[in-house]
Amino acid sequence: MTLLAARTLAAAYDGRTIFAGLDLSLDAGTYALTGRNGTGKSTLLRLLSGAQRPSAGRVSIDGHDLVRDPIAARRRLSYVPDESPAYPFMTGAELLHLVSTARRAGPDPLVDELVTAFGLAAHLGARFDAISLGTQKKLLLAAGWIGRPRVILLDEPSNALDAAARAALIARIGADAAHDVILFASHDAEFVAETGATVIPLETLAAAA
Amino acid sequence: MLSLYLAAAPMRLRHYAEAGGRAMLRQWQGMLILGLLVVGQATTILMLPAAMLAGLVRSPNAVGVATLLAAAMLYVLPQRAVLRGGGMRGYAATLPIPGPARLLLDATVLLLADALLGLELVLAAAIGGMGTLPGLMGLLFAVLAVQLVMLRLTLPDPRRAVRALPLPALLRTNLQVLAERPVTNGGRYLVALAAAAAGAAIATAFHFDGRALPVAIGALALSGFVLADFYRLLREAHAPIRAFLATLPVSPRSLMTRDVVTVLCLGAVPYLMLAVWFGAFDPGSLVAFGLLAVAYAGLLAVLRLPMLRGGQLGAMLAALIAAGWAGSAIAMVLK
Repeated sequence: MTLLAARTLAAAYDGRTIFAGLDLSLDAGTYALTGRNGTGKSTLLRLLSGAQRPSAGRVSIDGHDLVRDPIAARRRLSYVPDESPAYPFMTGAELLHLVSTARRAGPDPLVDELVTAFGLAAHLGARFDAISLGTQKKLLLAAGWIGRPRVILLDEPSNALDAAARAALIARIGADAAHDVILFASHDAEFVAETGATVIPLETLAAAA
Repeated sequence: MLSLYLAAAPMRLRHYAEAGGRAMLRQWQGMLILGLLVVGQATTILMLPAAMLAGLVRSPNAVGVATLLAAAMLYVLPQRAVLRGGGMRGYAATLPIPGPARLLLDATVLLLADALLGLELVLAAAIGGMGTLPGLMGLLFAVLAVQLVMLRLTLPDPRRAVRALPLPALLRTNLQVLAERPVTNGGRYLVALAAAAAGAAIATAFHFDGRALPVAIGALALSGFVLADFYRLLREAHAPIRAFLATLPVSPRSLMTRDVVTVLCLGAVPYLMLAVWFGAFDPGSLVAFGLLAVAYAGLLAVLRLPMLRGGQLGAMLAALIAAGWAGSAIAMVLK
């Protein structure tokens, strides 16, 4: 069953078209979006997640249109940006609480496992501007699994991760690939290979559209 | 929805207070200074808007309401990014937050941003009595409604037009920096030009008599004060590149020189507006304007110091310097 679908998606910055007429249809599995810098991988993830409005086209998550039925669609998706969007004064615990509240998700052993595997327990009370980039990334990744979304969009998920966290993330992705869509953008060929992801070169995707 | 609101509202409010705190402090400093000025019949400037609001409720008129709403929209324009949640907004857009909760969060932040209006409404209620309370609340809701609409509008990006302008290299980068925040900086520049235009209009109303030049000097001082904030914005923009520039074979004062030249060039326009207007109707004043050009350039250069070194009191110090400059210049003219 198609969990993530995009039809005739287009993006433009300052009047410059990044891509147009992009179609995408993904069933459960792990997918790696690859391509040269500036081709629009991060932009595509932002459009698919609803973080940015497309110039044209539609996105649906598990059958729910992101514009017409935004709450149902957003309840089924999560997005982990490459750079932390959190306010500098926020703590990790506050971020996780905010996302849990928005997703109406109670305590989840899966998220607790991730917090433990990422070694986050000691950093939950620290402000975002006082923790390393790697720790920020781990917190956002842990937040990405809150509410067990069906579609998880990750932008450069392996960036700044230590070996243990990287292994834990690969294991988590592997465990969920059978029933969820995990789509990530990455330049890390080793990480892509280790997750066993189906590679989607963005240039091919755009050209095929 | 309540739990979500309680989780998100403190963060939105804190973000606004941290990101817009300096601007808010400047507003209150400005009101404090203006609050000391008496504009007639022992009414201070602080009480004037309150009296007008009470009057608007007692005898409503479309022009008054439209002016209030236009001012409310203009007030929100430069702060849109911060009011909308800043960098967190994109991420929050991916969370299943219901529309009413988003609306309530935006309204909460707007209430904080409109604290000055709140103060004026309280004063208006004190002036107009309890009978005006429903009308004043209505005005507050109308203001919040148009401001919420402003937060949701998709606005065109004028930065592309600025990039296409043929500018000298010395100015290009700095003007592009200022164009990155087109509404804030464009609005600021319009205020500086409006001060000059108002000075010219008042001088004309005075038939260019002995009061005209002091008015022009006052207008220039106000323009200079408004433009001085560009120093702060330019320094903030240069911060990331400062260390890199230090490794290049350029003068350590090159950025400072560029900033001063930029503000002088921008400040030249309100000066020329006044000088040309006075020259056309009162050619005898051109000698004074020649001397004013030097003094005004000096003021613009000196205002860099309080803006960059004055800390939280920078705006107040700059206002005092501009007022002192105007007083000295007027004394020289009257001599």
